[in-house]
Amino acid sequence: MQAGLNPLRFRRQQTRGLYMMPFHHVPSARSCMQFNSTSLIRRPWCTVVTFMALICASTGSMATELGRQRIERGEFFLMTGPAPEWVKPMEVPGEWDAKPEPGTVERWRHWLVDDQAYRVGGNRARYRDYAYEPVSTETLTDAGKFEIDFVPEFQQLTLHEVALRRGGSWHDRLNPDRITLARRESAFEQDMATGAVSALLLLDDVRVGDVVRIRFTVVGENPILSGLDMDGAGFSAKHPILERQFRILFDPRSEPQEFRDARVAAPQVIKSPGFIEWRYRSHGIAAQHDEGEYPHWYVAYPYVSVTEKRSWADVARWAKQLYPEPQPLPDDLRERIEQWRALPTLDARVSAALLAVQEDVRYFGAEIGDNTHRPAEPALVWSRRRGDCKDKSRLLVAIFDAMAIEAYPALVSASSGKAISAHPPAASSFDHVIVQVRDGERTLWLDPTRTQQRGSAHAQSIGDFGVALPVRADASALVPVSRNPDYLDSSRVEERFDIAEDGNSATLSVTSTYLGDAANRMRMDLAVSGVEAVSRRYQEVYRRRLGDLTVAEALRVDDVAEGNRLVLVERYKLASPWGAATSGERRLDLFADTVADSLRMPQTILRSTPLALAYPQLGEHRIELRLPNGWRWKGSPENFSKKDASVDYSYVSGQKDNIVFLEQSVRTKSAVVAVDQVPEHLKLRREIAEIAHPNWILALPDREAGKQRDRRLNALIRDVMKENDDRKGKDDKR
Amino acid sequence: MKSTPAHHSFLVAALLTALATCLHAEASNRPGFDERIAEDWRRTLDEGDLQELMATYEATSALSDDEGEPIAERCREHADTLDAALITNPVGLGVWHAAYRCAEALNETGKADVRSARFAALVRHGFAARPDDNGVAPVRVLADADVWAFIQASGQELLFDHYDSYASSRHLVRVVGLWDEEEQRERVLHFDFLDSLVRLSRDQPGAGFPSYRRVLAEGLLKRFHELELGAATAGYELLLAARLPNQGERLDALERQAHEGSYVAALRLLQVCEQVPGADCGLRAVDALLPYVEIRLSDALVLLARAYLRGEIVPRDVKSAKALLDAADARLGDVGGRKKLASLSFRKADAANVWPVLSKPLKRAARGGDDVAAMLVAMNEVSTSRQGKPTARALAQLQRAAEGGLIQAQWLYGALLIDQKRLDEGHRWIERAAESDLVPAQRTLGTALMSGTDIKQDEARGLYWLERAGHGGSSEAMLAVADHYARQSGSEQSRKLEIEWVRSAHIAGDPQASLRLASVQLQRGNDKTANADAEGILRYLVGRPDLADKRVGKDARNLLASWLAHGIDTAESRKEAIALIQPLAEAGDSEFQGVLGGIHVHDSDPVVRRTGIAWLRKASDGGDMASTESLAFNTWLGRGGAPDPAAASQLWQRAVDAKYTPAYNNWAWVLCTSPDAGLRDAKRGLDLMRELQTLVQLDFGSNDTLAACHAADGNFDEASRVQQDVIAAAEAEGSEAEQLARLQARLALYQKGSIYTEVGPEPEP
Repeated sequence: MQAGLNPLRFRRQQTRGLYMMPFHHVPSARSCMQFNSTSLIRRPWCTVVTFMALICASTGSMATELGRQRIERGEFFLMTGPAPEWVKPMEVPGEWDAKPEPGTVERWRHWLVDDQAYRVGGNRARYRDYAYEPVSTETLTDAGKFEIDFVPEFQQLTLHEVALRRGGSWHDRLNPDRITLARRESAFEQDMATGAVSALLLLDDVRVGDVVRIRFTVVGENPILSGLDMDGAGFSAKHPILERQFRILFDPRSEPQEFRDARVAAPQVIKSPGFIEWRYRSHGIAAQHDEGEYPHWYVAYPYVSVTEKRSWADVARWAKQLYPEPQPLPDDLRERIEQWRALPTLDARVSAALLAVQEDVRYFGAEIGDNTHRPAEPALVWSRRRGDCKDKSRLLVAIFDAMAIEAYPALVSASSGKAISAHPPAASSFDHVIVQVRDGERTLWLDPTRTQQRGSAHAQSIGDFGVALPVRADASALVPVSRNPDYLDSSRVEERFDIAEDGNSATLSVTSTYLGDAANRMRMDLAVSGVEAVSRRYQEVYRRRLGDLTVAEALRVDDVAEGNRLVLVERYKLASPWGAATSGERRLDLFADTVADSLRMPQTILRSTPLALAYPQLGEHRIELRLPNGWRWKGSPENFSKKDASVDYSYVSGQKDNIVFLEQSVRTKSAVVAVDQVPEHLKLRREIAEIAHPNWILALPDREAGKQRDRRLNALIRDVMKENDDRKGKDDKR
Repeated sequence: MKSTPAHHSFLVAALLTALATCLHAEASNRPGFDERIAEDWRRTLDEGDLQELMATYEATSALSDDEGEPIAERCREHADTLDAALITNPVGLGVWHAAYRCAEALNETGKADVRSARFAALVRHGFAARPDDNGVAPVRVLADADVWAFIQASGQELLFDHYDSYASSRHLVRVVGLWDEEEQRERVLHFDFLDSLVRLSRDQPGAGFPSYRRVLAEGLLKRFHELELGAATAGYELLLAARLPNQGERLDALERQAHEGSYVAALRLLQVCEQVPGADCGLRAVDALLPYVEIRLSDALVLLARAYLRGEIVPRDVKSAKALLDAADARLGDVGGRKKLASLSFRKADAANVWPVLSKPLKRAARGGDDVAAMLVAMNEVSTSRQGKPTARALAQLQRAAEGGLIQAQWLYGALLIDQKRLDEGHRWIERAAESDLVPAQRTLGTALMSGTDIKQDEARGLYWLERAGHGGSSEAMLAVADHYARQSGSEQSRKLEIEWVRSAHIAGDPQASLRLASVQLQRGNDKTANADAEGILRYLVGRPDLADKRVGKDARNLLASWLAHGIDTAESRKEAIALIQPLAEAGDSEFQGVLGGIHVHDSDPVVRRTGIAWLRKASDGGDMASTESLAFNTWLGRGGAPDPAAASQLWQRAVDAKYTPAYNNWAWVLCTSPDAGLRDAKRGLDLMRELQTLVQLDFGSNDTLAACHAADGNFDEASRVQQDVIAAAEAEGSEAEQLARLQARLALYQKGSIYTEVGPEPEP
C-alpha cells in the first residue's frame, strides 16, 4: 500500500559523504520551509543544500577586494577570490593515518571537512573546506564534479580554491570555464519553487588516489528569519573522515548555546575582543553505516548545532508576527463556512472545513524571499486555490476562526520530529506548519496539506512530529503533538478459493477492508495510480503466485467517507492455482501479505540503532478454501500466538464444515523497537516469516485420484512409445 | 548456463572424453589419467594446508559477479593473488576455471590457453581416476566450488543437482544431472569433496575416526542448507527425514519434500513405499514421481518401469515397462536404463518379474563388450542358480569384467573363487576391489585376515582393511575394530580407541554399537558425563518403536532399567525402571521378568523383595539363565526368604549346565568366600573357575574369584600371585580407589595366609 507521496525529498548533492538522505518515513508531510535553512538537524553541513542558509544580502561587505573575480553566467554570478580574513584555514594532512575497520573496503575518503561560520555583528557567512579522495574506480565519476547551491536573492558564493594533489604535489584546478550556474528546480516535482541556484564544477583528469580540495564561502541569510537561525555540523559519514572541524565565531557578548551529541567532544572556547570562538575538532572518524529504518526522531549520525542563547518564546514571538490577522474572506468561502456551521457536531464542522482546504486548495510552494516563512493571505490562497503548508494552515485557521473554533497554526519539523526539542531554539528548526484545534480539554492536530483523508477529524492521521510550536501570543514552549484520539489504521484481507468441478481451476474472491489511515493510504494509491493500474497490479501479484488467471469481475471500490472505510472487491478465475499437483493431491501455497509485509526483515539486520514500526497498526489476513465433495484437507488445526514488546501475532487454522481456513493477524504495540530488543524482535520476525506462508495439501477422493493418475500414466506411456518409435525410425534410416 | 565461446568446444570435448573413460581398464591405464596430476593430488591431500587451500577459493570468488561472470578489473587488480592461488592449489577445478575465465576477460590468450588446458586435464584425470564401479564412484574434487565450475564449463543444461543424504560412507555425494543437447544424452555424475576435506583435516582431533567424517558431512549439509545452497537442501532434508522416529513420519516427510520439488525425495519415496505394505503410500509415491517421468529423467523412468514389472503398486504392465526402459536406454545411451534397473532389482521375485525384460538386451550388450552388462548378467545367474553356484559362462563373464577393472566384478569374482577354494586367487581379487575402496571387499578381507579364515592370519593387515571399511561407512567393520582394541591388554589407550570406534559405529546409526557404547560408558563408574551420555543413548534406543521387538531394543530397555534401578537408585528412578519393565514382564517375557525381579530383590521392603524372588523364579522357569543365576545368588544369600544353599546350588548347576558364564564365577565366589566353613568348597570353586577359563578369557573380576578360591584351598602363594595380577589389571583399567583398596586388602590377607570371607545380608525375618 502506498503511504502517500513523500515530498520530503531533497536533492542529493554530489558533495560526498556527510549529506544524508531523509531516511525515515514521513507520511505525506510536505516541507514548505526547508530549503532555506542553515540548520537542518538531520543534515550535516557538507550537504550543500543547507547552504541555502538565510543570510543577509550583504554580499560584498565581507569580502576582501584583492584577487576577486566575478564569473557571470546569464543572470547569475559567483565570485572567486581568497577566503575571508576571519577564516583560519586548516592543512590537508599529508598521510592517511586512520585504519579501516576490519572487513571493510574503502571507496572514498574525506581527508578534511572544515566548516567555519561567522555570526558576528548580525552577519552570516559560511566557509567550507572539503578535501576528498576517490579510492576506487567506481567513485571517479562523482569525484569529478562538485555542486554548490545558494540563493542569489540573499546569498553570494565565493570560490576560493579548487586543487588536486597527486604524488604529494598540489595542482591548481580552478578553471572558471568549467563552472556553470543554473537554476535548479528539481523540487518542482514536489510542487515547490525555491529560487535556488547551483554552481556546478567539473574537474578533468581525476584519478584514483588523487585528493581534491574545494574551498568556498557563502555569505548571506534569508532576512525573514531575523537572525533566529542555527548553525550545525555532522561528525560522521558513510565514509571515513580524517580531519573534521566545526568553528563558529559569535559576537563577543553573546551567550552561545549548543546541542552536542555525546559522541562529539566538547568544543574549545576561545574569547577574544572581536568574537567568541567555538571550535569542535575530531580526528580519524570511522565510516558509519546507515542502518536505515530509524524512528523518525532518531539521529543516527552525531551532530552539533549551535546558536546564540534564546528561548522558544523568542521564536514564537517571531512566528506570531508572520501570522497577522487575516483580511476578510471571499464571499464564496463565507458561504461555504455558513454551510459548515450548520453541521450538527464540532467534528463534522472541523472535518468539512479540513476536507475543503485539503482537497480544493492545491499544494504548491513558491519558497522564495519572504515566502519561505510568511504565509499568504487566506483570501488569496483561497481565490487562487493554491498554497503551501503555511498558506493552507493559515487559511484553515481563518476558517475555524470564522466558525468560532479555537485553532492556531503550529510549527513542526517534518524531518526531525521531536528531536528538535533537544536543540537550541531556532526558527530554522521548523520545516512545516500544521493546525492545532482546541476543543475544550481536547486537542486535535490537523495537516491541511494531506489529501485523500476522510472521516472524522478526531481520527485523522498526523505525521510523527513529536512536538510543535503553536503560533499564538502566549506560546513559550514546544508542546507535544499526540495522535488524534480516534486514530485507526486497520487492514483486513479476506481471500476465498472455490475449486471448480474439474478439480483444477478455481475462483478467487478477495475482499480488502481498510479503516482509518489504511483507508487514506489506499485512497491515495487509487487516486494517484488510478483504479485500473491498481487492479492490474493486483492481478500481476496473483498471476505470479497462482498462475494464469482472468478477471471475473473488475475491481470494485466501495468508499464510505463516514467512518472512513474503504473496501476493495476483486474476483478472478484461476486456471490452475496449485503449487504442485499430482493425480491424488493438490498443494495450494498461501500468502498472507498483510501480515508478512508489515513484518519483513529490515534492510540492516545487525543493528546498533533502534528500529521504527508503524504504530498503532492492525493487519489481518484470512484465507478460506471451500472443499468440493470428497476432498480432504491433509493438515491439522493450529492455534498459537507469538509476541514480544512490540508486536502481537496470532495464527489460527482449521476446518469448519467444508471450509478450510487460515487467519493471521499482527498488531503493533509500539512505534519503536529499542536497540537492545532488536535481535529478539528480528528473531520473532524470522519465525513469523517462516510460518506466514504455509501451504495446504488437499487430497482428492481416491476414485478421482485414481482416474487422474490412470489418465496421466496412459498419456505418458503413449508419448514414450511414440518417441521410441520415432527414434527407432531415425536409427533405421541411418 | 553456458561457458564462454572461446574455449567452450575444448572443454566440452574434454568433458565428453572424460565421461567416455568411465568404464574399462584400471584407472592408471585409462585415457585421461595423468601421473603428474595424480602426484599433485597426492601432495595436496597429504601435505596441503586446508586453510590456505580454502583461501584460494575465497580469493577467486571475489573476482566474479553474482552470475559467475569475471570482472575484468578485479582480475587485473588481483592478478598476483590469482597466480599465487594456482600454485597453492594445483588441483582445484574452481580455481583453475576462474583463472582461465579471468585470462579470457583480460584478453590474455596465452594464459587462457594454458589455464583452460590445465582445467581440462584436471577434469579428465578426475573421471579417469575414479574406481570403475558402473559410474557410481564420485569424482574427487577439493571443494564444492569445483562442481560448480565443472557444470559451468560443461555448457550443458543442468537437469538436477542435489546432495544425496549422507549415508555414513566415505563420500558426501553430490549428484548432478546434465543434458547434452547435441548428443541427446542424460549424464548423471557424482562428485565428492568430503574425502578430500577429511584428508586435509588430518591434524584435527578425532580425524582418525569415522565419526569425524560423519559429523563433518552432516555439519556441512546443514550449513549449506542454512546458506540456501539449493543442492544441499534436498540432502539435508533427507537426512532429517531418516532420523524421524517412526516410519509414518518418515514417509510423510519424504512426501512433503517430493511435493516441494525434491527429485531425490520423489525417487526415495517410491523405493521406500515399495517396502511398505499397502498401496496407498505407493500410489502417492507414483504421483510424486510422475512429473519427473514426464520430463523423462532416467532414474524416474527406470523406477516406474520397475513398478510396472513388479506389479505391486500399479498393475503389472510389461509393455509399458519396456517402453519406459527403451526411453531410459535412449537417454543414457547403450542399455544404460536396463543396466540401472538390473542393479536395482535384487529381490527374489525380481528374477521372475523384472529380469525377463532385461536379459536379452543385457546379454546382447555383454556380447558386444559391455563389461557392466556382462557383470550384471553374471550376477543374476549366480543369484538365481541353485545354491548360488555360477555357471562357467557366468564365471568367465565375471572374470572378464574383473580384469576390465569393474570393482564389483572383482569382489564378486573373488568371493566365488573362494567358494571354490581357489583361495589365493580369490583373495587377490578381493584385495583389488578393496584397494579401490569397495567397502564390502575391505570388510570381508579385513575379517578374514583378522581371524585367519581361509587366509594366513595377519592382524595388522586385517586391522588396516577393517579401518578402511569403517571409514567407508561399515558399522560392522567399526565394531570389529573396536573388538580388536577390546582384546588388547586392557591399556587405557586401547580402551580409548575401542570406545572411539564404538562411538563411530553409534554415530553411524548402528543400534548395536549404541548399546555397546552405553554399556561401556556405564562401566566408567562415577563419570557423570559418561553416565549421562549412556542414559541418553539408552533412552533413544528404548524410544525407537522399530527396535522394540528386536534384541538390541530389549537389551537397551534392560540396561536402562538396571541403570535407573541400581545405578541412579533413587525412588523416582526405580519407579521409572519398573514402569519400563513391568508391562513386558506381565506379558510373559522371561527376560524382563528377570530384570524386574532383579530390581525388586534389592528393595528395602521385604515384601517387595519376596515379589522380586517370585519374578526371578518365573523368569528362571521360563528359561532365562540370567534370572536363574540371580535367583541362585539371592537364594544363597536369603533375600526374599530364608537362605537355602542347597536350592541355590541346584539353580547354579542349572545355569552352569547351560554354560551361562556368570554363574561359574558367582557360584565359585560364594563357595570360596562363605564365612560358613560347612558351605565352603574351594575345590568345587576351583573346578568351576578352571572350566570357565576354557570358555572365556578371565577378566580381573573373575581372577579375583580365582585368587579367593586358591586361598580357600590353602594355596596362598598362588592366591597372592593371581591377586597381584588382578590389582595390576584393575589399575590399568582405571578402577576406582575404593575397589583397588578392597583388592589390596584381599592380597594382604592372602599374603598373611588368611582366606577372604564375605558376609551376606541379614536373612529375611
